[in-house]
Amino acid sequence: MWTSKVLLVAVLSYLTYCKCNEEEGSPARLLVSKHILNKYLVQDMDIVIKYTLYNVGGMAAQEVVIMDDSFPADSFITAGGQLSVKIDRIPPGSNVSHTVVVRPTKFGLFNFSSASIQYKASENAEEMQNAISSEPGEGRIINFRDYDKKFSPHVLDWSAFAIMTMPSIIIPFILFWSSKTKYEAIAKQKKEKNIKDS
Amino acid sequence: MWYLIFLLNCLNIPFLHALLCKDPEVVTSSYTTQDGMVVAEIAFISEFSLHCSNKVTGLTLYGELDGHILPIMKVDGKTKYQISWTEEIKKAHSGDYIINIFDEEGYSNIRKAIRSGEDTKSVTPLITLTLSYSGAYLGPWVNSEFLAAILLISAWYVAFVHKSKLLS
Repeated sequence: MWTSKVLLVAVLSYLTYCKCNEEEGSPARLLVSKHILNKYLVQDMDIVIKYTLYNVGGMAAQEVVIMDDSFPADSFITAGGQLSVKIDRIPPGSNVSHTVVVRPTKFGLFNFSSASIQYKASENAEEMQNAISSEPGEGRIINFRDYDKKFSPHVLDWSAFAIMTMPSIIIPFILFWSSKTKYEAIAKQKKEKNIKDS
Repeated sequence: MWYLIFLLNCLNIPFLHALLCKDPEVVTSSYTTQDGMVVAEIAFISEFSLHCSNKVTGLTLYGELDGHILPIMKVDGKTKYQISWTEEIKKAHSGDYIINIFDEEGYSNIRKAIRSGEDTKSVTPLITLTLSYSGAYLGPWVNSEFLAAILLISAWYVAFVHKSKLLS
């Protein structure tokens, strides 16, 4: 009886150990998302790109390289951050984010494709694991002029309008004011004369 | 592995000390999104070059901002690094953001401090970066068309008052 119980406990503990060991020892697996954090995509204005890496594996990912070649140099300039970076280690169950700001120099439809990631799935791994991030997809980059027409405060336009309308308001007002002061002065004189006569 | 490093450190092996950055000098360039009209979140990016007097390069660094640990990316694998994060427009406050940069030893100390609820200021950082953010432009205070309408109504009111005075 005792021997069977001990055997059962031993088998169960071995199975649990195997399971734990498998979970802990499973190689690093990175889930990578690429997000565009913009309300509008406008030519010559900032586009914020955020890469989030989450390690769902049981081991730390080593020598992780994020590389994004999806922004051609003739259509985009990098305003802040780097499109190719490296991080030494991403521990299991943790996430890491990286942000870059680019500016499109051209407008039109653009396909925001994925970034490529390379990493070592374990400390002793000899080969690099290749991965790709999620794809934000197609987006229309608006012409700066169109955006400006819609969203700018149009201060210059309104000041030009004010300057143009000013003569038609100011000239009649000055004429009215001069005649008003003139007639008021005459009326005052008349009043004073009447008071003296009486 | 860690036991070995600890042992070597205790034995005062010189190669380990070579991994520590002495007299760090830092050159920073930072970027924050200024236009809140087009972006959904504000990006804070700080790129810096770290030079040590003992010529140590390729260090693994970690950043700490308001009690949160931020990873630091290596740009060229030698002296250039990047730290970046995003914040919602409403939550991002204007002013200076102080980022403490730690090496691996400092990182383990700061993690201990955060875990035990101690003051993070007790851990001395390798370097400190300051990222200033002047706030994002969220559109004009008053719409131009609204201002123009107000001016026109006031001009009409002045004219109307004078006219009614004359007629009475």
